[in-house]
Parts: sequence; structure tokens; C-alpha cells
Amino acid sequence: MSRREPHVLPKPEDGAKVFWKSLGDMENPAGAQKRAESEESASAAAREAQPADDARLVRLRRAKDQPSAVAQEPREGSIGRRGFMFFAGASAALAAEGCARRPVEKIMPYSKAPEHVLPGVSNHYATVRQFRGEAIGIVVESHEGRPTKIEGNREHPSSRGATDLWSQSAIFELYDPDRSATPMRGTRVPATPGTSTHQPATWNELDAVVADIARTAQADGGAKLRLLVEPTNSPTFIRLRDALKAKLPQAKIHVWSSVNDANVREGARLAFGQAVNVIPDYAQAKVIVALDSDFLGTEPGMVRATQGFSAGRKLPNGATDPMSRLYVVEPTFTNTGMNADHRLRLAAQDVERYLVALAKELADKHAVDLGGLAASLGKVDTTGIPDKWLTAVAKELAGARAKSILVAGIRQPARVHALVHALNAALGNAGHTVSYFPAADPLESDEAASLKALVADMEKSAVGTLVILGGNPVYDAPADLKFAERLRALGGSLHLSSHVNETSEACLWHAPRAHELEAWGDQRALDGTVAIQQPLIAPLFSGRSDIELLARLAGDSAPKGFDLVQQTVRGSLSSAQAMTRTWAEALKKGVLGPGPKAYGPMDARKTEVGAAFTAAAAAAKAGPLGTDNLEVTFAACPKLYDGRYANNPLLLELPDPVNKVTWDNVACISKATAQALGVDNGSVVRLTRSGGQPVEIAVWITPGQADNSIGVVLGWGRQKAGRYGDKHGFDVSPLRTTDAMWIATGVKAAKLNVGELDAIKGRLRKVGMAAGESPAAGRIRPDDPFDVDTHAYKISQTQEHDSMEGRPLAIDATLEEYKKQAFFPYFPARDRKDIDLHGRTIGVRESGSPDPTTPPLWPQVDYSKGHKWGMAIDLTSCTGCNACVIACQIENNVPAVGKEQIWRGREMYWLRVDRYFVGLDPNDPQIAFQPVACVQCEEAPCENVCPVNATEHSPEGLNDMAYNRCIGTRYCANNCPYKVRRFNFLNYHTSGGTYDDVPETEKMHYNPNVTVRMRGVMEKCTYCVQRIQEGKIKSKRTGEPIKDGSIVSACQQACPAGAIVFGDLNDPTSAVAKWRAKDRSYRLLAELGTHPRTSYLGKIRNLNSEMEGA
Amino acid sequence: MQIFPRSLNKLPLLLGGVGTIVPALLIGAIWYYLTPKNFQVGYSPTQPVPYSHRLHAGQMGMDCRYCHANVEVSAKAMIPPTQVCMGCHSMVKTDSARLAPVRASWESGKPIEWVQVHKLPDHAYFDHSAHLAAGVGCATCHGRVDEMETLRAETPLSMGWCLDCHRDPKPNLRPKDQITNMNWKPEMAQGWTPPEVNPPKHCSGCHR
Repeated sequence: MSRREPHVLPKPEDGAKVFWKSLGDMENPAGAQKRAESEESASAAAREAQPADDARLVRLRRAKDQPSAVAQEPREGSIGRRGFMFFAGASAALAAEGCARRPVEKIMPYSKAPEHVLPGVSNHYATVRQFRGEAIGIVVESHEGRPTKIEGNREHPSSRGATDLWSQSAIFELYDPDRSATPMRGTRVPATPGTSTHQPATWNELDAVVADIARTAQADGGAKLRLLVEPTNSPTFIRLRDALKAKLPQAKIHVWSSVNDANVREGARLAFGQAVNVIPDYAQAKVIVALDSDFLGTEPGMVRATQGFSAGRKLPNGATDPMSRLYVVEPTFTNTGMNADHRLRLAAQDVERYLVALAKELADKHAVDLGGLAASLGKVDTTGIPDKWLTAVAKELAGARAKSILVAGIRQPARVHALVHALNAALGNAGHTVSYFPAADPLESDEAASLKALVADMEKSAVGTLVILGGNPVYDAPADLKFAERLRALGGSLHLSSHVNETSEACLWHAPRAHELEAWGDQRALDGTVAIQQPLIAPLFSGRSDIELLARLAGDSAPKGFDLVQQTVRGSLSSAQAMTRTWAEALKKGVLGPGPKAYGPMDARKTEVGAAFTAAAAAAKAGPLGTDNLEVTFAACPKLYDGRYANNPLLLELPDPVNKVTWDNVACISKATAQALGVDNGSVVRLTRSGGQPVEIAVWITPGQADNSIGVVLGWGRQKAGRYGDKHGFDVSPLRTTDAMWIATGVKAAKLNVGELDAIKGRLRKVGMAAGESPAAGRIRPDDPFDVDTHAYKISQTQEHDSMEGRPLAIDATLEEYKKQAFFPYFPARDRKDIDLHGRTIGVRESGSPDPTTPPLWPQVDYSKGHKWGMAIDLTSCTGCNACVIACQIENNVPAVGKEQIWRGREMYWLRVDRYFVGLDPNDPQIAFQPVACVQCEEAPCENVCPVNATEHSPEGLNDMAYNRCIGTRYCANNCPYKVRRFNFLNYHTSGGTYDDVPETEKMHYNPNVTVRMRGVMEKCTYCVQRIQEGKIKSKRTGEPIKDGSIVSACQQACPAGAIVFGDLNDPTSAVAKWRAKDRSYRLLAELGTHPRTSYLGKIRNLNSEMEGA
Repeated sequence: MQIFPRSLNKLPLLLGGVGTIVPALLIGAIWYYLTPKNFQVGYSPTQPVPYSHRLHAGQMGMDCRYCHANVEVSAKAMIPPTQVCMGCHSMVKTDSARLAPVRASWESGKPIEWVQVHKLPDHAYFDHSAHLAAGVGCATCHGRVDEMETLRAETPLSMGWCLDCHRDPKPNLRPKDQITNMNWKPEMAQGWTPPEVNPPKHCSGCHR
């Protein structure tokens, strides 16, 4: 065998494009190659080391240090040759005995069968999930009363059949084994020192306490009663809350959520005089300007926005179709920024400057009528803003009146939102591309101010009892409020929560909260559509819902969620018959009825908005950013959100869309800033600012990050999340204060020395990972979160995993190039020189077909009869949101493997989303996403090397995997050019032990139609063969042919961008066949002769030629 | 010098013979006896209720689907809920001691713990409805249930046995209206041509 030598990157010629997976990869492709190889050798070393068992790791280390000792005395727990023969013989005999008669198994039918439940046939129920102020209609699959999968509801306007990644992972949260099971009674001082302050109590006791609170409040009008709730869009919750307010006029209800829309709401109030829900229709827009807004990621209505955005860029008929253009101005890469056609990296505090300059440009040069507002916008300093970002963008906006959208993110102050509203109105977008709907809760106030008022009352001892419904303010309240201290000093406190978390520990009573899939409720979408939330299962852990507890506080003795919701619905209806009909229809469709109409085009109140800017200009005092005046921007985590999903291993492990970091959060920092601060990847820095508490966090040098700006996400570093979430990552909320909820300036960063690292070890998880670049070297320290040699924090990330060795993969072109050369994935080299990291020219192939002309050495199969399953993925549509990844895991029982296993390159994702940086500037790269699953090669390299025929072809062209035949040689994974085969090095569903270790509730989330794989077995994407079989059997049963679109893979179902289609390639009318026949379609690595069934549509970027060089 | 007695001259031959025959017998015995054909067939455990298929399906002529109601629509044929038993036995044989467990289950709501007779491995995803749709009769796999006092397994249900039929299904097909007919014989369908059913012979047909 000849050894491949990595090529060295030559100096690229003009106009050449370069794809890279990480900064290390870009600077030193040979090193990346080495790292990829060391992953392989890591697994070899791991085979020796049996890394599941930390104790054994220590033993191995000792053994390596003292080789002679090993030779002399047998290691603890080892057995000699005789012992081995004895056990081998005995186990053979036992095995033979076991074969003789399988164990007796019982079948337990229902005693009284529930209606509509057929064993073996899943039921589907429509319900709704609340996320981030938006309600997402969902359909839940239930097997004999056990919900196993969530899908989108086509009838619901905010879902239209798609979901986000949080909806997909909600199934795991339902079965989370660490959810609290009983009410808890707490004391301030434990009865005996060293024991827990909280002891289990009964619901009767808790009900008595709640009744007592209600009675006391009744007596004094609730003067001493305070409620702390989360922002809500439930009509029943709002009804009950208002009823409580009417009954107890003195009681105060405060709102808190660490990720909130206070700025957005205030901006609308400033512009329109009232709070409104803004729904942009991205499908209709030609030009979109996003100002620090992650509308494709964590902002409200992400599913709806993604659907619209990708619909405006689908190019169904080729290059002649219109395509929208997205400009993004932001400090840190987000999903939105990664999908931008043009992106300006700008510190978050400077985004306002940019918007004002843009508004002035529009008003001065393009006659956009801002009225008196234009005069209030003072002179703007445009340092750091390229001229073209003002002139060209303004020209585009002015040229696309009523066809453009400006949108600002939650981090930006209210006046920025107000100016955006004014610009949308002046450009004629209002009523065309931007609609305004009545807000769910017009009374909703500023969360930070609300919590501040509560704390002020607590300080004044004006609070007798505080009832907290959901949320975790002890963990995420702004540091300056010292909320935890005040809460601990209270005489009465009750926390309704799914887990006994940080806040529960500080309260005197804790009540388990029911999951959304366990309780009745109702949710209102951004556009006002109300849907009923119907439970799929009785509360697993005896929880109650918010509305039930709220009703109890209002004096209701035994409220039922069902009755409360029915009362709300009945209130809006005329008759009892209407109620019966409406209710049944609402449960069936998942939508109660159309919501209120949108407001007409709204004009902004220019004088008020102008005044806000004048006032802000007077108060401005922010100096220029520098290494001793850093900016820190906070954002909702694209995985854990605000920390509420912190105990979900699927989300903890999910690679971050930008950095591909798993199991941790990092501080994103630009290369220049890192050099100025003297830090490198994994260095831990302490961030300090006046007013906030210091925060320690590991840094990660991130391309596309604004200089002197540090991007951090909330939700990590939880100390009381549960068995999976405890002590992962770094908690950044201590740095947040009420005056700097999103953007904190004046931050100083200092690298921690070794002594200081030791001091923070207690807060971090111990991970047994090898040190340095080569895990095979055996320098293993299982008890240290830091690297032995470099003292860098160990970060498991997947960005260099599954390297396809620099071959042409995610192929992209600009719209202009596409117009000139429609078949660009085949002929890119004609118009421009594309090279890979190793300097090879990519993409030059035979005209029309990329397949080699030499046939394989064995007879080829004719797939033209029957079904020929195939998939097509549109790289232009894919926004990299990761919903498909989680959907695949839930559907196919794919486990999370843990931080250490990821470090060893052993992630189990059947479907991964590769993220490529494109371009030669490490600071301002473009991004290409590419979801890669098994492409089901017709000439599969994996099949030829399997010694036991465990992977075989089906007549329909699926590359089948028979788990029970697999003996784990891993030859197939080695021979797979796509790197999509995954090996079960350990029993990943267990915590290293047997299946008895898996918590009972966790077992309930498995899809019963897919095998749960054990250790030693290879696995990979099957195109959701269980769904194909279900469709085929149904067709056999009914005699009706399989319709295109009736069999939907889990990833396709979840995708909000509609980037994935699946179907029968032998049916020329199927969507997948049409996509495959498109001009920009190509098959990944088809030049190897694998005949992949998955095809990709090349990524198109809609670049503005006037922006060149900006 | 003669060290070994002359009688040992035959030892190599003997060893050669025994060394071949004994392992061959052993392998043959394991091959034959330790198979589903030998162990699965004839399995007839005692059930918590001495339910007689001979009485219900045979003498009384009840259709299989009266109790196994799901069989045409679901992967699972379904053991009937206690409710179905009580549909008749709330009026018939109301004081039979043999039915005591059924009444107990009906009153307590706890299931009757039937012992599974026809067992497939967990990684085999068998679907009753697909087989019925193709025209495989109940008796083809389950035998003459109408003649069994206690239910017993009649067929090995091994992968090889499944594949024998999947490779050549026609001899085991019958008109769809005769699926539950226990007495049906191929001669009874003169002139009827079995349809092309094209059963899966690849891994993912049954293993997912």
C-alpha cells in the first residue's frame, strides 16, 4: 500500500475559491490531514484502553509508566489462561443451554381496550408547542399511548408541516429521568447538618399550602403576594391572570425570562404607540437587511421565517427566477449571518451607527421620506463601515420599494427597532412584505424592569410570598439584582418547575410542572392563530400545569386544565352546540380558527422616534472599542436556548452551527483580538466589567467575528440541571446586568494562569480525554477538564471530523455565474479556477455525467423496475438549522455519546451538517452548509469489503444494514468515501453498563420500529427504511400505488426550509426525480463511480456586483 | 527394544476413526437438534387460562378475526383484550372456575399474562397485515389451530423457513376470502391463479 502524502497548498490564483473546515485547516492543510489520521489512531488506542471505564484508564496510565510492574504481577481483575479456558467453556455451555429454549415471555393485552388504540399502529394527535413567543402546531406520533416523535402540523400557519430542532428534541425532555417527581418542602437550614434542605412532600400538603396562600391573599387583597411568571401567549393563562388581578388588586404579577423581546416590544410602542407582532414575509422580499438579527435561528417565528426565506431563493425554474438578496450586519456568526449573501462584521454597539447612516443615506440620496425624523438623526461617525455598505445597500433598498425588509434583532435597543419600523413604512414595505398583528398580551412589560421592581419590593420586605411559575431566575437573573440572595431571605416561596433546579433549591416549596405533552393548554401564534394544546400522556411525574396552579391561587379548589381551557374557548362562542363542534374541530385540525386580521400598513410616529435618537445621542458616552474596552454580546444559545433544555443530551451534544463545538459553550473571538490578548483556542479568560460579576470562559477563535467583540451564549454552566447537563460549559449570566442585558461594553479580558484554572475546576465536568494533538500518546488524565501540557480547556468539536480529504463537495456559484453556466457543478473550471486545499483543480469532469465510463468488475443491477428510492438536497435552501439532525436521532434511536467520545471522533450522527468556510479571508469567509447522510451508492464501496455480508443491497437500491450479522470489523467505515458509517464502540444508550442501567422513562422514547443497536455494530442512515416499509405495506394492503410525497424521511419532514426531498426516481413526476434532473444538480463524489442515490443542488449566492471589495 | 505393546499399533487408526466420527456426530447432533425446527416446533406452554382454540375456532366455528381483530390492519395480530372474552362470558359460563382469571382481570383492570408461543427475534419486524394482503392463510404459519386444545407452535419461524416462502410464495397463497379458512386446501381453488406478490428477499424487508 502506498502512503498518501498530503499536498501543500500553493498560492491560489486570482479569483480562486478555497473551502476549509477550520482555521487550522486553512493555515495548514497537511496538519488537518494529520489530525484526521490521528482520529483514526485514537480509536485504535481506545480499543486498547477501553475508555468507558475511567478507573481502567488510570490503570493503563500506570501500566505505561511502569512496564516492569505489569510483567511481574497480574493486574487487578485480570484472569490467567486457565481461568480464561474455564470461563470460556462455561460460557459456551451456558450459551448452548440458552439456545435450547428462549426465555418465557408474556403478552399482556389490555383488560379494557381504549378506543382508537390498535397495538402496532401509531396514532397521531395534533397539539401545539410554545417556543419563544411563537406557537408551533405539531402532530405527535404515539405508540400505544407513548409519544415517540413530533412532526409539524400542515394546518397550522406557523408550522406548515415543519418544525425546529427544539420541537424535535422535546420528546426527550418529556422522558427526562431527572424531572422532579414529587413536591418538595424546603427549610433554610437542614435538620441535621450535611443533609439536604429539601425533603419530598405530598400533593395534599402542597395543595394546603397553596390554599393557604390564596386565603391569606384574599384577606388583604394580595398586598403581600407576588407572582413571577414567564412571558406567555396562552389565552387561558392571560384570562386567569387577569381574573387573579381583579380578585387580588394589591397582588403584583412580574414577568421574567432571560431571553426576552423587551427591546422589540418597546420599539413597537415607540413607533406605533402599541405593542405589535411583526411578521415579515421573506418569500415576497427582494432585498432583506438583517441588523444583528438571527431570524433564521433563535428569534421568534424561526420556522415561519425559514420557510419564507428559502421560498424566496428556491429558483424553481433555474437562473431566470427571482432570488432575494440577504445583507447581514452582525458581530458574531449566527445562522442568519451564515446564510447572508453579503455580511458585514460589526460590533453590536456599532449596528445602530450603521442603521442611522443607512437611514440618512436613504433620506438624502434616494428621497425616502422620513419626515422630521431625518433631522433628528445626528451626524454619524462611519468608522469601520465600508462606504459601499451604505451606498450600494441604500440603492438596493430604494430600488426595491415594497419589496424589501429591514429587520433588527432582540439585542438592539428599542430606538433601532423603531427606526427600522419607520424605514419599513417609508420604503412602502409595511402591508406588503411586513405585516403587523395584535400582540398576544398587550400589557406585557419590560422583563428586566419588571424583575427589578420585584427585587425592590423584596428589599423593602413588601413581599410575603413569591410564587414562581416556571423559569429559573436564580440561574439567569441579572447579576446586579442579587435575586438569589433576596429569594433566600423570603418567608414564603414556591417554584413550579420541571426540575429541582437552582431556583427550586432557593425556594421553600417546589412543585413539579407538567410537560407540554402532558397538560391541557392553549397557545396563540404570532399571527393570532390559537391552537389547543392537548395532552398525549398522563403526567409521568405527577406534574401540574401553570394554569392549574394559577387557578388554585385564585381560589379554585380543584381546577382541571381541561375545564380551564374549555372555559376560555366557550367564552368566545355563542352556543353549546358551537362549542362541541368547534372543540372537536380544533382538536382534530390543531387550529382553533383563524386569528384576528393583520393591521393595515402602519406608519411610524416619526417625532417620537426622532426624540428617542436625540435623547440617545445626548446620553451617548461609549468610547471606541479596544482590547481594554471589549464588547461582550449575549445571545440565546442555538441549542440550549436560555438553559431550560440543559439536561437534554441530544441538544448538549449537537454541534454548534458555527464552531461545531459539542457539550460546551465558548467565547467567540476574532483572530486579531485573540492575538492582542495573547490567547488561543481553549485558553480560559476572565471577563470583568464594572457592575457585573467576573466570568471565566474558554475562547474559540471564530472566523467572521468582529474585532474587540466577544460573542457568548446563555444557558450553559448549569450546576443543578440534572445528570446530563450539570457542569457543562460556562455560565455567562453573572456578567449581565439590567443596564447591559445584551451588549456589555467596557469589558476587560485576562487569561487565567494555572493556579486560577485550578480554582475553577470544581465548576467544570471532569472528562477523561487525552492531552495534546495525539490522543494515542496515552497521556491520559481523566480527572482534569484541562489539557495536561497546554492548560487549554478541552473542547470536543467536530469541525474537522469526517474530512473528505479536500475533494469538491459543497459546490457553489453566484447567480451571475449560474446564469452564464447553468451546469456549473460540472464545469466550474471553465469560468473560474476552483482548487481544493491540496491545490488540485476541482470540478473538471466529462460533460453531462460525472460518472466514470469504466463499469465495475461485477455485473450491474438493473434498477429501472419497481421503486428506485432517492433523495435530493438543495444547498441553496439549507440554512444549517440542525432540525434534521435531531429529527434523525429521535426517529432512528441514535444516541448521544458524550464529550469524551466526540473527542475520539466517535459521534453517531447518521445525518451531519457539514459547515465549510469559503474564501481566502479568515476574518470574512462565506459559509456553505452541506447535510451529509448515507448517499445509498448503487456501487457501494462498503459492501465489497464486508466479510460477513452484513451490508447488502436491496433491489430498490437501498444499502441495507443487517445489525445482527455485523461483527464489527469496521472495514466498511474505512472504505466509505462519505464518512457516514458510525460504529458503536460502546453501549451508547447506557451509561457504559447494561441496558438495565437505562432509566425506565428514557426507554419510552425509543421508536419501536427501529432496532436499538448495541456495542460492536456498525450503523448508518437507512433513508428511514421503516417509513418506506410502512408505506409499501400500506400500499399492498389498500392496493393503491405509493403517491409521491406519501413516504417522507424524518429529516425531510422536519426541514423548515424544504431543502430535502425524498421519493422514487423511477417516477419521472416525483419531486426528487425533477430535482435530480435540474441543471445545478450534482452527485457527491460521483467521479469515484459510486452512483450515489442522493443528489445535491449546487448553492447559489445572489451577490451584488456593486458590493465587490466591500 | 519394544517399548509400546503391539496392540497399540491400531491406535492411530482408531484415533483417526474416532476422531472423525465422534466430532461428526456431535456436529450433526447440534446441527439437527439445536435448531428452531426442533426447539420451536411443538412448544406448547401452559396458559393462565386453559383457553381452547379447538372449542372456539373448531367446534363453534368462530372466525379468527373475531378475537384477533387487528390482523388485517396492523403488524400485530393482537391477543384480544379481556373485554372481548367478557363479551360472551358475561352471559355464557359465568360461574366456570376455569374462567376465574378472566373475570378477575375484568374486575381489576389488570391484564391476563398470556405466554407467548410464536416468537420472533426482536430485530425481525414481521407484519401480519402485509401477509394477509398477499393471501397467506393463518394456518400456513400457525397450523391447524382449530384442532389444538392448547396452542402449540407448528412451524420453526426461522429465517430460513421464512425465506423458503419469500423465494417461492405461490404454493402458500390462497384466495383472500379463504385466509381464515382452516380447512382450505389448494385443490379447493381450481382455476385460481395466485397473484404476483413479490415478497422482499433483502435485509431491510424485515430488519430495520
